[in-house]
Amino acid sequence: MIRFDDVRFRYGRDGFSLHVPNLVINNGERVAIVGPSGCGKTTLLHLMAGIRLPIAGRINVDETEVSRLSDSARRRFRISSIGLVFQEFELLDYLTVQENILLPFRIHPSLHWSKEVVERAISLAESVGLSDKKTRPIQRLSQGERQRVAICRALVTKPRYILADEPTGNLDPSLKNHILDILFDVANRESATLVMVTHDHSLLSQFDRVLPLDECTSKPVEGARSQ
Amino acid sequence: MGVIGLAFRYVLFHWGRSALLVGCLTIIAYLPLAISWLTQTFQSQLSSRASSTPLLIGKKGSRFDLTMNALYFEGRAIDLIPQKEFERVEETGLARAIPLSIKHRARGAPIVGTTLDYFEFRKLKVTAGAMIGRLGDCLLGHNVARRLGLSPGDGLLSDPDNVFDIASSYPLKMRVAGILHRSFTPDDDAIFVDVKTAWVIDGIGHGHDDVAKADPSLLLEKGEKKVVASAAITSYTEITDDNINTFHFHGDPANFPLTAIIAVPHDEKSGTLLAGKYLSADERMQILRPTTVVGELLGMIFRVKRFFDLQSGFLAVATLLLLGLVMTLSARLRAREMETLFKIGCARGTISLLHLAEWLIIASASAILVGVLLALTLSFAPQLMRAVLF
Repeated sequence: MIRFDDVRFRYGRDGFSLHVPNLVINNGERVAIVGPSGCGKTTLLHLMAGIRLPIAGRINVDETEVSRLSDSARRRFRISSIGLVFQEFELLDYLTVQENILLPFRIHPSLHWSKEVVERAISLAESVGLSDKKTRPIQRLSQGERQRVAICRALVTKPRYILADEPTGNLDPSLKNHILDILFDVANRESATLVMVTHDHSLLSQFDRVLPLDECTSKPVEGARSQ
Repeated sequence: MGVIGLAFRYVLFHWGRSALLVGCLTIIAYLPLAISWLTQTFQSQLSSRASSTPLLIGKKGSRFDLTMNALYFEGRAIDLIPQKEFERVEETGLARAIPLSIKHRARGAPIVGTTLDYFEFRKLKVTAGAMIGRLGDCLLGHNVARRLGLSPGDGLLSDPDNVFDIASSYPLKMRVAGILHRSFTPDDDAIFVDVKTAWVIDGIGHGHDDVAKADPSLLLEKGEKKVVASAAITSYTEITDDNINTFHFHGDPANFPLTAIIAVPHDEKSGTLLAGKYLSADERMQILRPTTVVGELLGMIFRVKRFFDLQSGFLAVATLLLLGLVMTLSARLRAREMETLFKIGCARGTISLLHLAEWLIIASASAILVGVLLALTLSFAPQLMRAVLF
């Protein structure tokens, strides 16, 4: 469960600020965060992931109070509990599909490389229809295929939470539902909670809950609201 | 494959950029090192050759040209001295004299006419074949033998002085008597003959059909004491066992030309006394100590080198600044990639390590390349120095 208690965040001294009085996301939920550009959707995801720290309030993910963890502990938490999917995929162009999926295991000492890990990467690639493209360079993939690789990379560490920042924002309309299906499917299979930022209102009906963020960045979110 | 593996993959993937950086680093590291190494080699070669040659005697003129000719068989042609100067040194009893005649070349290599004393003086040994046995024999330096692919028993034709001058002496086909061991000195690049053979190449000595038995139509004049043959009489261009006895010299041997004389005094005092004999104002010869001349030459070279060192320094600083700029721009271009790595859990330190590893790989590749180039430079240093400087 992700829980925000009177969380306040601000960029610099006078920059964009965000106030989240109360927010709860239950385990296994599929939650969409919507709102206009610049209202703090990505910042909210970053706060959940421990990438950014609040200036006040508490953020708990399960039993862990993320807002009180040290830098290294937050990194450990992030790599073990959070799977991040980005709008621009953010894959390394000099690695193959399989190498990109396994990237977290190359960059964090707490994750140990093993035969099982490689098998999981292969299995994930197969589950999203990339079984014949494991050794292919990223540049030779379509946009949809790249996003599927990014989803596999987010899931390879068996995270409990998948935080997706507009993962369909750069995709062809025909691909959006397909990618969303894949995200829901793998989230179900892995029993992971899915929190997704999106601008696309046509996708909202597929989520358990929608969290709208107010337009004015200084205003607080009115708690968790069902739609 | 951890961070180092990732760095390797990045460097290989962007191979063009990596190759360019490796090239830049290699050039800024290799050039000053190679120049420094080559000048040191040059210095040690010049110095060791000079210090092993006590005194040189030659015609008054450029001291540098005389030294370059007599020690390294290179440099501008100098005025010749008569053979009687050789006798003059010998007659003083103060030094052993070794004549040198360095006028001709064969297939690009200098032909050095001298006596057997030269080989003893320079401690040159024959590794294949035998020492010079008769007129027309030659000994090849190690490099010449290898370059020309010659072995004992083969023939080697001297280069004609001027192909358009039909009145000049004919090239002489010399017999390769032996090959000298490698000495890492200019002797490796020379062809040695007896000084009399050098005079034959000069045209002072020659061999031809016996004019007494020749067709009268080939004779211009025939008296009781003197016979003058026309140019149509057969002259020998090769000295063989059959025709060696027909070879003879014209003129006064005392005036036969030499390039220089190496004087090896019996002791320091003898050397000083001998040098004193060449000090008079009307003396037409000069005697010099090669160490002094080479010291002056090196002094000039190293003054010039300091200027180039300074220039190389500025160039290196400019190149390093540019590389710094490339690093900064590269880091900016990859800021998003690094941010992604951070977001998914990579430590900032690990990201820095990734950058460092990439540059270390490039630096290591440059270091290996510099090592290979320096090894090649070192192995070809003597030839390179001679090619560049003479």
